[in-house]
Amino acid sequence: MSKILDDENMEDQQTRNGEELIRAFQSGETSAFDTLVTMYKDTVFHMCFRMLGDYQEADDTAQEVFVKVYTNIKRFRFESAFSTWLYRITVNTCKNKLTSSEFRHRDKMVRLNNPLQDSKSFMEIEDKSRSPHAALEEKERSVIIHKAIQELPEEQKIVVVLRDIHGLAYEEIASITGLKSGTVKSRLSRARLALRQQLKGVI
Amino acid sequence: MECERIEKLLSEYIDDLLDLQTKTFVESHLQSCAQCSKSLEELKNIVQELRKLEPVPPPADFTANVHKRLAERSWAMQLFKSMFVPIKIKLPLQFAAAAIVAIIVITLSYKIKPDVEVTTRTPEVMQKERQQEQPFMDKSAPEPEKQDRLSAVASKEEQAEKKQNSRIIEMTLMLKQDIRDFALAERRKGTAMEKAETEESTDVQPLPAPSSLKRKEAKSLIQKNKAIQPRTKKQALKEQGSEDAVAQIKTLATRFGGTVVDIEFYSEPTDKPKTITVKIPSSGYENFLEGLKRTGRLQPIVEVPAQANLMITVRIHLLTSLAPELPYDPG
Repeated sequence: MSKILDDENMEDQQTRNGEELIRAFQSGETSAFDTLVTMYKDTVFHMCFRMLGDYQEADDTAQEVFVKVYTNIKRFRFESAFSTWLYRITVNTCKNKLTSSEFRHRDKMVRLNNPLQDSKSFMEIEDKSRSPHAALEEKERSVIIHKAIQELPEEQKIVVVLRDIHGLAYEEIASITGLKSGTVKSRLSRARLALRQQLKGVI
Repeated sequence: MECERIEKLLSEYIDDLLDLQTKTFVESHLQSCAQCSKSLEELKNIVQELRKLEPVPPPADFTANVHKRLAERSWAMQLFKSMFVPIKIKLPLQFAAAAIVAIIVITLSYKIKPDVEVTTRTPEVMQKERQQEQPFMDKSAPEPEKQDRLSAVASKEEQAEKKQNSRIIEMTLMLKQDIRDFALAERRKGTAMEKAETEESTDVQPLPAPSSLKRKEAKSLIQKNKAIQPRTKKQALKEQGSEDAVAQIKTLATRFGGTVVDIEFYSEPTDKPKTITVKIPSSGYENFLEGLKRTGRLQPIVEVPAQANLMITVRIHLLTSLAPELPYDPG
């Protein structure tokens, strides 16, 4: 819980800075956008990666998110926190990607041709983000959990990623997804139970 | 059954979102149910594992790629704009379109001329209202619509006269016979249970038309009237009366040193005189006016001193009950 609260405080700090940067950008300071990208690229990319399950797709989608931010930033009216607005764009872009026929076709082809290739590519990705302090066992476990998340239905996956991986509050998730708070709770409950079922014997 | 219910509440229990009563209910169940306690532990582990997932960083060239994509997009947008009509071309096109529309409208509005001059159709009742709005019909220059009706020669003469101490006066003359007809029409209108009108009553006109009536409607109604109203003996007599009035005006003008310059006729339905233009010196104008007053009701009566030494052009609009009929619009 403390981790979540710490994350939320950090997000608040980022939000304040983000809003200041937007004002600077809106008043003509174009370099403010670079600062925004630097500040939020890790979160946005990680969110995309956990939702899409593929590194290249996450890279492409996260770039698309920032292009959308750049295009629409002048229309941002400060009616919500910048982070909420940014994550809403991220979630919607990921949803569009997940439902696109190209993405579905590619996903099926990978699984049918070589089921192991998927996890191999994931291991290669993990190599990129290798933490010197992380143990190999933890890496394998994270691979399994990641795969289990990808098995979830889209609406459950989004809620789990936002709540359990990124530690967002229920109200913010409701604001990002446009769902009612009760729906967020029930979807999260079903997602956690489904993950417990999938990861039985592993965790 | 209770375990299923508890299982659904475990997620919220982990996040400490349950109200006190539900939380107590869950805790009491967990104390007595080993299976649900085990489920709780498993869920807690799942949540902990999810929170422990290491963030995957983006590639090092992520920001550069975003810039690259923005540049590509900007280039694509420019290409799109250049392929389709850009604003630089679009605006002149819009102006050109607006200018063409304006030219068409102006051309059409000048070509469509009224067949019936509505102002000359306004009999006594409406005339009073008009007089309140325009106390003096005496104008220093004729109205544009009326000007079109005069011949080109007459227009030139008038222009020349304007330069040399001349004056143009417009007035309406309702012949005595027609005054009686209007009075008769008013009386009949007031009678509630009157029988169907006889043939003789067909020449009695209903209430006059307001000057605001649309000309197209007027024209169609004139044609309609022409079709449904046969010419009677009385109508013929009245036309004769109008022609007599023209003869009287001619005689009057000649007697007092003037001449009849122009006579304008209604084209439909009776071809009877509509406007008579008389030129008369100011010395004979007063006597001429007195003569006209004996012929019928004259409005407005414009006085000009005999010593003014002017050549006066008098345009007399004849109002008769046989003029082309226009409906009365009470609105």
